[in-house]
Amino acid sequence: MSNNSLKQTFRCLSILDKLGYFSVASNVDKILYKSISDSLEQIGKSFSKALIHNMCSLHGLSEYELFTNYDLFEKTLNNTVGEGAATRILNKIKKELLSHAILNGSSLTTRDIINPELTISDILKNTSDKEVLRFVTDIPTHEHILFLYRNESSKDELLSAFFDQAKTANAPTCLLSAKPRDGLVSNNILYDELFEEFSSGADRAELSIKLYDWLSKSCLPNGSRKKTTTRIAEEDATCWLKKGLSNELIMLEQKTSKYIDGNLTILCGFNISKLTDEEINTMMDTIISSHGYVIIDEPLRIYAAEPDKIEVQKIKGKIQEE
Amino acid sequence: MATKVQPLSTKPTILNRNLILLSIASTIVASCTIFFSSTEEEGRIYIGDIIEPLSAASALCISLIVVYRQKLDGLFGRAYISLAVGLGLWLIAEVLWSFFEFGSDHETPSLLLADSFWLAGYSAFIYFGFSMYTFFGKRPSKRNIIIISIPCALFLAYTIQLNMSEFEFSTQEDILLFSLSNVYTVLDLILIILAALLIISPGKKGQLTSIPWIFIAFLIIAIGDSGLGYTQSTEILYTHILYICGYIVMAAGLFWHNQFFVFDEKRVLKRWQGENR
Repeated sequence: MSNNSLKQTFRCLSILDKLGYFSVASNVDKILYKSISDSLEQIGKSFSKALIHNMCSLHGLSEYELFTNYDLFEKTLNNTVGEGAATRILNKIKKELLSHAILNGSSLTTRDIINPELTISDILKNTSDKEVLRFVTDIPTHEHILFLYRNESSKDELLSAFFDQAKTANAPTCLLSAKPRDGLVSNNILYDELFEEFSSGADRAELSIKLYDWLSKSCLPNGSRKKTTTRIAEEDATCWLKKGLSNELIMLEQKTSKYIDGNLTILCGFNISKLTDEEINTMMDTIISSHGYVIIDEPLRIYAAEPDKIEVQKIKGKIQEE
Repeated sequence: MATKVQPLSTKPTILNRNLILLSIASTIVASCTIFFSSTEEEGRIYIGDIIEPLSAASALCISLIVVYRQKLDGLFGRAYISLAVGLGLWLIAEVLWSFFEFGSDHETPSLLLADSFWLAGYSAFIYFGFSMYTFFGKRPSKRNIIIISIPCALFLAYTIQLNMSEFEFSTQEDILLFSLSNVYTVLDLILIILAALLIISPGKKGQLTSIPWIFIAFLIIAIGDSGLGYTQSTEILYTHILYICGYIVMAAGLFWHNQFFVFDEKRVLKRWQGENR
């Protein structure tokens, strides 16, 4: 992972913080908390309480801060009781965590579990990723989600979850992508086709409205718009920027957010490693604030907008023409 | 506890220093008491026979406090009750030995009731040692195993050879004494190996476990005991001092454990109330 893409991620996280987006509470925190407290109790109730109290006292932390941040907990434990005891305790925690993770639908295989190189961080990442993918699969209609990614495999995983066959069977699905992905969705449109169709001779100010209209009509079977749940995704919206269509993209995002249809769910992907500092500074505030949920990869985390801070209001019902 | 507490990063360092100083001072005071209390050798041995059980009793008292407050659940509960039982058995052995040494007109009998309590105490200490070693120690490197086991093996061989030359094996008592001497040596070596492996265990030591007090106590006592069979009567005082030092260090370790690894809900609540007034 390059330093530049890491820097872009941090900038996006700063924007999320500035706009008041909060990290959606994950079950992983609860699982980790329970695993640590159950493991420590096995050593002895009095010893475990004293150890927790001392770790918190010696390092100025609360129990929640300590137990829900695994890296911090590991470092504090090593500093408090030494490497030998810390290794014993962490092995117990790993066993507890594995059992909780499997019960919570982790995708770890038997081979993974018996692999001694499997670390607690790996288990937590796996469980957390599964939780986010489950969220994306089960996301309700009328949601506009932004996915900021650096890793192409994360994007592929998320798109597979978004267009999960079990959830989208018989429902229209539409993907705007750079390369053909016909196996994944019922309607696959390439960026090159889209820009070719709309850019030649079209008034660029009208482009986004026409595009939105075109997408919703193309992706929905005639006469059944209101009855089916349609999922539309865009693989990498930075393709718009390469074509010099940044204003059009912003307008499209804002209009999508404002006029999203009751049975539509839209996912917008952005490969942030392709964004320049200027693009992030000028655009990302507006792009992010047009979405109710933002998902960031490595590790996969979900951020939700506070209801009163969404800049555009969603209006259910018919598309309004300007 | 959900609330934040103030950092106390210097408390273990200060307590470590204070305990070291107190242990050294107590050992020096005990040694001086023994050496300067009487001009006669016999008198000094008798003083040693009083101070030694007292130091064992002090360690036992603190261990009972730990067991009472910690209760018996979990690995530490079981380990520390075992330690308390071991100390109790050794205290009984110390008292019996002292009684036989200066409480009766006879010479110390060859096979004493005290030996049975000492031997029983070893099993409790070894259980404690293994439990704590498996928890706190890292897997020993081959180098460490060789460094420790070769001298121990050589010492055992030397001891057996020395014992064989000392005993005539003409009576059953001789055979029993020979066996007993070697059993003590083996048990002492087990404690020495456990303690040494933990003390030189690789890896970073924690802020609360930088000094393995109780294992250092095992080392001191086992070394003193190992030398007991080969010292002249005039040198027995030095083994007394090692035993006393060992019990003092064990008491320091138990105090340390009581301070940092036994949870005192009332004290913590009182402190929190004081900070949040």
